[in-house]
Amino acid sequence: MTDKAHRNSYSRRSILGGLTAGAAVIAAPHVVRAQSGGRVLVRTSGGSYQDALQAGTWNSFTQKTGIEVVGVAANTGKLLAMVEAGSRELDIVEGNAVAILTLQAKGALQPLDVSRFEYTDPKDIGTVGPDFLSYASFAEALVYNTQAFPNEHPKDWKDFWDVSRFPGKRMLQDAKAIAPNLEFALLADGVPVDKLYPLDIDRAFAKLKQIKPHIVKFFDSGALGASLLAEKTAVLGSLWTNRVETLRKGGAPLAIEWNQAMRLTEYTAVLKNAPNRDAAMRLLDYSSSPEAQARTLPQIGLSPENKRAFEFIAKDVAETLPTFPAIASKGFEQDAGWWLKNRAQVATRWEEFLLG
Amino acid sequence: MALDVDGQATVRVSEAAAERPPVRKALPGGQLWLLLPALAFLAIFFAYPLFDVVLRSFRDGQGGFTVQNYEAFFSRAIYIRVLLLTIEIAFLTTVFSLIVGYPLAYVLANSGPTVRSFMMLCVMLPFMTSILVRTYGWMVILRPNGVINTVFAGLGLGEIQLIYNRSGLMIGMVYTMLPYMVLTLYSVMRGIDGRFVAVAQSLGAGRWSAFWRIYFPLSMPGVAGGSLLVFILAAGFYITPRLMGGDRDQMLASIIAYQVDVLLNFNFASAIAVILLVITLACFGLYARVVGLKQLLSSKV
Repeated sequence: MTDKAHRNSYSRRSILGGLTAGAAVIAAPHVVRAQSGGRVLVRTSGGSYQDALQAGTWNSFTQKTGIEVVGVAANTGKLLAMVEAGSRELDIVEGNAVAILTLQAKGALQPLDVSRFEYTDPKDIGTVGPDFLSYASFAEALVYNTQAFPNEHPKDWKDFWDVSRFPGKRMLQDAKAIAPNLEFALLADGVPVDKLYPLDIDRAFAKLKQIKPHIVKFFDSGALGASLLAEKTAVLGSLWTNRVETLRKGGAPLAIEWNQAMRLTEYTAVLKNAPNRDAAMRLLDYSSSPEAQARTLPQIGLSPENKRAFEFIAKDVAETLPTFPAIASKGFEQDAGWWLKNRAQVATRWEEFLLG
Repeated sequence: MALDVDGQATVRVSEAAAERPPVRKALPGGQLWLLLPALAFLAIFFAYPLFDVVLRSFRDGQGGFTVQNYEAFFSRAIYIRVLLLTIEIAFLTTVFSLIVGYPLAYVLANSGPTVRSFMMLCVMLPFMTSILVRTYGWMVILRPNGVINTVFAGLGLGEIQLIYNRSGLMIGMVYTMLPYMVLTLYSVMRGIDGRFVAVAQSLGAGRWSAFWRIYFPLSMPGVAGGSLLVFILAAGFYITPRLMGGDRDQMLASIIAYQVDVLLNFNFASAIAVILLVITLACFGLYARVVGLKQLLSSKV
């Protein structure tokens, strides 16, 4: 009886796991095969992000513990559908703060016992919730084409709105990407950074309306935003800084203005009905350690949320990361709690704004 | 979700096609079991999920029965506008696909085997690449510093915006929909007996007159079927409007995806999906009344 149940669950998992593990083997030739320590299933956004996790964190974790790590690509909607359906195909979830807080509100997260951590000192982590940890952060910043603005470039969001001093096609974020750039509109309208939240939605949309004729496209995915800037369809825009670093390495003439950049945090958590809960807790602990974060996150332009990770990052790399002190002081942090409460309302307003 | 709607449309049409044999000749009862695998597949992967979507659309946050999802949709002018925009865009796509596709299908159906196989390959080729790849291909061609605008600039002409607006959307959608239109028209046109036209001409009709009064009416089932297919698929389109359309080209599928992926509002998304489905079915019903279901479903005259 037990034997049969075990075999069933094995075959079901092997369908999913086999596919993803197969993909991982192709993507990273140095995957360390599990000896016997079980496995953990981690939700990631796939692509180069997962490659970095594999190389910087998962391989060494498997070496140390014998636990195999399998990445599962899923967007937030699919994630919640899996959680709602009681799916037991995921252990660890990571995603933007608003998404993880949404899961928390639905009661889908397993409480953490950080006192049992062996690799990570919880005091070093930016945010420690009852059932989540902050893992990484990136920023939405003003990005400009250095060929279009060789001498003087826009230095804050007021300049971004100033189309006579800085002519050229612009782009901003669509509500469908993460959230529309209401914060930047308010900064352009003269609201001081420390008075941003709660956001004045009416005032932000009124300001966005002014710049709308100069926006070539409100981009609704990071890939589209990156290609708009890289191909010079837009010469000025807000974009995620980790994307910009990738484009710059590819030779795109882009630069980041860190002034008034908005930091966004990625959270990580263990699901309540996780099939491999103990292994998942160990991976969560290991992933949050300074060494693992330093080996993984800067490679893809993300800032580690463990502040001691900076001790292991080369200075020239550290200086391009959003939480590097000299850069962080120029920007501010997104209030994920505000967005969690107001996102639905903003979404409807956004559609009206686009068609208005 | 949005692509589901596409999928549903496709499934429904193919389901309809499966009913064709009985129209011509009653299927011997003993062979009906051959349909079982297809029916089981549809029941599990189409009927059941669809039923679940309909149920969800009447559910509130706590799982109780409610019509508030529909109320929320129809009480906000913005959603009605997106609904009308969706119909408008799907309609325009249908019209343009027909304008481009009809002559193409005509040549295809009335040319020699060599030309025909070559043209057929050209029509089918886009089917063999991913829609995402094709859309990005168009973006490379149409963007401000893309192929077309570079040529225009070389000729001393000004830059024209071909993408991220309605024209870009139409280029992308008509391109994607064209094979569906052409193949439907082609299958009907192949069945038209060329002797009808020849007879008309021998009785004194001019070439145009023979075409309009004989050939075109005979090809109507293809026009109807192709238009219906294109309209239904276009109404649920998601990728092309998002990547090639302008900010004002909002379609329902994109709102459904946003409600699911970002707002995690599955019940409201289900209600929108049901509304889209009802409209598609209404179009189907209208067509069935006007054109006749039999004619719509039979590709031979």
